[in-house]
Amino acid sequence: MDDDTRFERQLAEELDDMAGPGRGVDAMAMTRAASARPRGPAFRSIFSATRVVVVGAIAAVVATVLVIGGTPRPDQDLTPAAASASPSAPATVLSGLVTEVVEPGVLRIIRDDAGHDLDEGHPDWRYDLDDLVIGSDGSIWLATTLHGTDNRATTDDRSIWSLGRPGKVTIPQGVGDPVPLADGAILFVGDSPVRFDGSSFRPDGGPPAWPVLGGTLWVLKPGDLTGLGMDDVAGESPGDRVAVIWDGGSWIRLGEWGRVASSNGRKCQATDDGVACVDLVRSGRRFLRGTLINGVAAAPDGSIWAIAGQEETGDGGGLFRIAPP
Amino acid sequence: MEAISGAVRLDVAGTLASAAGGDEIAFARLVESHDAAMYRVCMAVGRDHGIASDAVQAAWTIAWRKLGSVRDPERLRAWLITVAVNETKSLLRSRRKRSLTEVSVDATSRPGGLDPAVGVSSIDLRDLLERLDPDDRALLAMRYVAGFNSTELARALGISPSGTRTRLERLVARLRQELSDG
Repeated sequence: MDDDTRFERQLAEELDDMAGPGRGVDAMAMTRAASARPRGPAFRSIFSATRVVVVGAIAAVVATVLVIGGTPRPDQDLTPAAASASPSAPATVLSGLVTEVVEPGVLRIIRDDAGHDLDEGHPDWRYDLDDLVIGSDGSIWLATTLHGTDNRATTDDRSIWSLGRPGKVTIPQGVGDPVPLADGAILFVGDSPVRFDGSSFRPDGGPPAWPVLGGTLWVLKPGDLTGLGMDDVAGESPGDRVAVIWDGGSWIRLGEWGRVASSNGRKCQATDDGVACVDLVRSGRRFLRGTLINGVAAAPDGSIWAIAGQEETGDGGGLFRIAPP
Repeated sequence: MEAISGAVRLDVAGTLASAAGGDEIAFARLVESHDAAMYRVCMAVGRDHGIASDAVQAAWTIAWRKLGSVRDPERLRAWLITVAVNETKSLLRSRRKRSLTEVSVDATSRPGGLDPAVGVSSIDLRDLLERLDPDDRALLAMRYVAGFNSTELARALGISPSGTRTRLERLVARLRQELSDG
């Protein structure tokens, strides 16, 4: 057992101890209390001072939109336009984008011309970017939550949207991580694979392997990975499924695959301290130093795109483009 | 054996459907089955009996109203715990309670020396956990007390499973680092 595993075990024991022995409860009394207060804590808490401010701000935004008939805000569910058969990209993804240069060769995307504003004024309601997928045609897809609303029990607000394409599409619960398929669609690998065609989701019960950009995706039982050097699947239960990608040289878990990107002989990795890149001659360069990076992906034009994690304070976050070398 | 587990699943689904439809006896069965687990996770997050009790009570009230939104019985346990944890965090925020808590007798009576294998004092670890941000403690409690897998954590947090794993790995690494820095 390595030190990491030992530490996790000790951590688990400590937390278990903190949780204590549990309690006995009069189930019928609890039931009566619950059923007698149909508008209980949720009703009460929505009128707390904080909620009043938040609700007021939302109302103000909605009212402003209604009054001036302006562009719908990105935190509204929009009807996805262009419900095409596959996620297709604008001719050049940079056209129509408002950006700023944050360091030589690196742009931060502020907003597009399709109603997505990544620089929303309210610190708790900006787009929180969780996953980045670049399709074979160069379309930039972002899986996102509205930060500050994603810690409630409902996860209905997880969405996917594309730069330059109006609207966003709600991601069904439990569909997991996205990966770009070679045929242009996006596969979400969670409880069971689900295919996203740019406008809707449908189950994909196909073979256990899918051609993806840069490799082959396999969804396997943890036991099937024995001997493949995937020793970090030990914590998975036998009934789970593990998504791994064979990139032609090694196996890599889907989650980690979204943290590395290769293009034009340059290989880049998402780190807690920016995007670390090395090129064919092993000369390294780090972009966005000091920024917590959640994921990277390579675009057909040789650029590397990165999404930054947003802190609980609302700081950080963002979408960046690193120019080709 | 498979037939029995299938029957149990049917029973859970039936109980859930009845409870969602307003059957108090069925709802009480759910309370009996899940209340203790919800309370334990809330205790680990809230570090206070009153907060944990209020949070679980609030969670059951929410469950009474929204049980119909849980379509898959296998997700019921994680859903209930997630609601209770969110209520705990909400109560902590509203009471502006910091990590000032009593040290349990159990904690002081347990050996507090260095774990020879890892080199971490359990008292230091407890102290660090109590000082953690409630959101971080909630993540750890859902993983290590409730036993959520990454998919369940992802649903609870509203982020992707990979994002959840990354967040958890970073948090555990940070804890180790802070403990080794002393």
